[in-house]
Amino acid sequence: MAKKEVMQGNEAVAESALRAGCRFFAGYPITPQSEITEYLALKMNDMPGRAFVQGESEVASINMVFGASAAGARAMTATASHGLSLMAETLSFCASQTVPAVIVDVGRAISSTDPAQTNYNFITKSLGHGGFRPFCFAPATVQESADMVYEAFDIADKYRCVVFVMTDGMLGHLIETVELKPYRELADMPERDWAPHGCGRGHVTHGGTPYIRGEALANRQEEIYAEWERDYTRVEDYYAADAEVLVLAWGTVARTAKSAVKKLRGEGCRVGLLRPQTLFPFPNRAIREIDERRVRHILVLEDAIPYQFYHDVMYALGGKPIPVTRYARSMGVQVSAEEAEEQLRRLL
Amino acid sequence: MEKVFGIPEGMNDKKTAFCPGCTHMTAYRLIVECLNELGERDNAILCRPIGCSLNADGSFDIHTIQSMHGRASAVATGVSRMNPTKTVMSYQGDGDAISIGVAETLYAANRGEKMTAIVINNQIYGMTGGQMSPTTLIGQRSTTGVRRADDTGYPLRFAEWLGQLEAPGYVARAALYTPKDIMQAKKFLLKALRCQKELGRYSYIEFLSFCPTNWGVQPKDCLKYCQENVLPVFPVGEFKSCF
Ligand SMILES: Cc1ncc(C[n+]2csc(CCOP(=O)(O)OP(=O)(O)O)c2C)c(N)n1
Ligand code: SF4
Ligand SMILES: [Mg+2]
Repeated sequence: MAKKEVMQGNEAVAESALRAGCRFFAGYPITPQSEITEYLALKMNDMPGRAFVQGESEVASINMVFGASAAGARAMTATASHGLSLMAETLSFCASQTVPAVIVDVGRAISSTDPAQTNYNFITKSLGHGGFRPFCFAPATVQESADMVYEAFDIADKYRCVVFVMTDGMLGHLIETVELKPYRELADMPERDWAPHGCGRGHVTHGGTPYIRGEALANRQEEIYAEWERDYTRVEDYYAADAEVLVLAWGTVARTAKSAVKKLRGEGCRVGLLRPQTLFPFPNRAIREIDERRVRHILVLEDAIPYQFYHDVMYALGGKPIPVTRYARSMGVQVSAEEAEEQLRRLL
Repeated sequence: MEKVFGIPEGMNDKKTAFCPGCTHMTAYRLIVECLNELGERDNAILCRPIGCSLNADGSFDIHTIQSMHGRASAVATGVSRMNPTKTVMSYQGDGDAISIGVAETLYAANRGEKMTAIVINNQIYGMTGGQMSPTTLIGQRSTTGVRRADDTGYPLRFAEWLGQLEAPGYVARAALYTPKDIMQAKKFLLKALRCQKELGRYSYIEFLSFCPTNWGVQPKDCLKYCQENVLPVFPVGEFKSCF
């Protein structure tokens, strides 16, 4: 077993990306993401076959990532909220050209650097214009952040898609023990036979040549999304099996809610938590299968007002006769463990 | 009879979508010819943005990576860093390289990326139908108005600007006008590509190009128009050379 290390979330993400075979990183500093960029800046250019560039903006960074990836290398960028908006056009382009990219979004509020979950719709619904959707992981611990980034590169390669790991300032700055996966040999990376490595005579190739084009490409995405929903959906079940009041939350807020659930369980209350670990694919089935004869009430928590995640939960419930209460904070304020507990007590 | 001029190897006679009298295609031909002469066409990657550059689609054999409008120099940065032994080029319009993508073009130059930026300066947004570009001349008509210094500023002399930077190895401007100009353009382009390949440095080359359609100038009158109006504002020459 690899030895456990104590690491900050952002640094664990950066180190894990290197271990997954990330050869190229370009990023622009923004709180609370900057430690990822700093970590890789200090390491990557000394590692053979890899390169780090501090982009002049998020626009430049994502386009460098596009170039590196289209030319054959596993590539990543990291940003937070505002920078994500700047990347929209090229994220859409990556998706439509089927050029793989891994993006870590360390979410922050619109008006401060405090953690927030307000990028949920942006990431899970559509990569900018065009309506393509990325795979989206939602970790809740440093360990999970590291593991999900590691896996993100494989999914990006397999489906030639954009994969997001959506954390926030809390997870990014949290320090926990983590067991990192081993370094992968750059030579062992899956071959990208579609990438232009310089011309063979008589060939004109467009970078990241879509293996299919036009409407066929769009239709293929729908097939991929269905495959993801079937094979890749992940959800953590914490005392959900016999819960009468069930919390639905993701990422940091789920982590906060977990401590409230734990405390109330200690008092014998039948509360539980269902935490999506993938937000696209969304765990529609797990939510649809919630037993309305047992669960008296659902509490949806998130760090986003206007509500975002809540609407996906409602859609997944599909009109099931279970009362749903939503509780959220926003603009740099987070749902606290006390608030989660208070909300749960009200519903018990 | 000896054939002295024809389609170079790596190009074909497919019909392109360029307007009559457009000189974009001359730039492509020079790129193919120079790469052939350097033996680099099989080792080259061209990052192409959105603009009339697209009209050459399918007419030349160079591995091409499509990029978003303005971002070809950033894309080329990623390509080049991951493929340091390749000849990596960006091919950009004036609007692309000097307006929407000015930061990416400037910073690739300032970092001294191992690449050659080739910028087609036709003083107009060709592809979108003739709007004002960063190089539109004072007094020149465009569909978004006549350029007047007091509210739209002056045509940007980007080559002169980059020529002052430390990192670039080669910076030049040439015209795709007369046969003599084109011979000079080819000489400059060869140097630009050699600077990248042999010395691992950044090169920038700006080609002055005709856009008869959006200038409202007959192709046959373009040369005179340029000699009188364009060359005084955009002088040809080398602004920095490592040779
Ligand atoms: C983000 C974005 N904004 C606007 C456009 C529309 N657009 C396409 S090409 C172009 C300008 C082309 O002008 P230039 O770069 O000078 O190239 P030319 O066609 O003149 O060779 C514009 C504005 C776009 N494709 N993307
Ligand atoms: S619009 Fe201008 S730049 Fe574009 S193809 Fe026609 S002449 Fe050439
Ligand atoms: Mg132009």
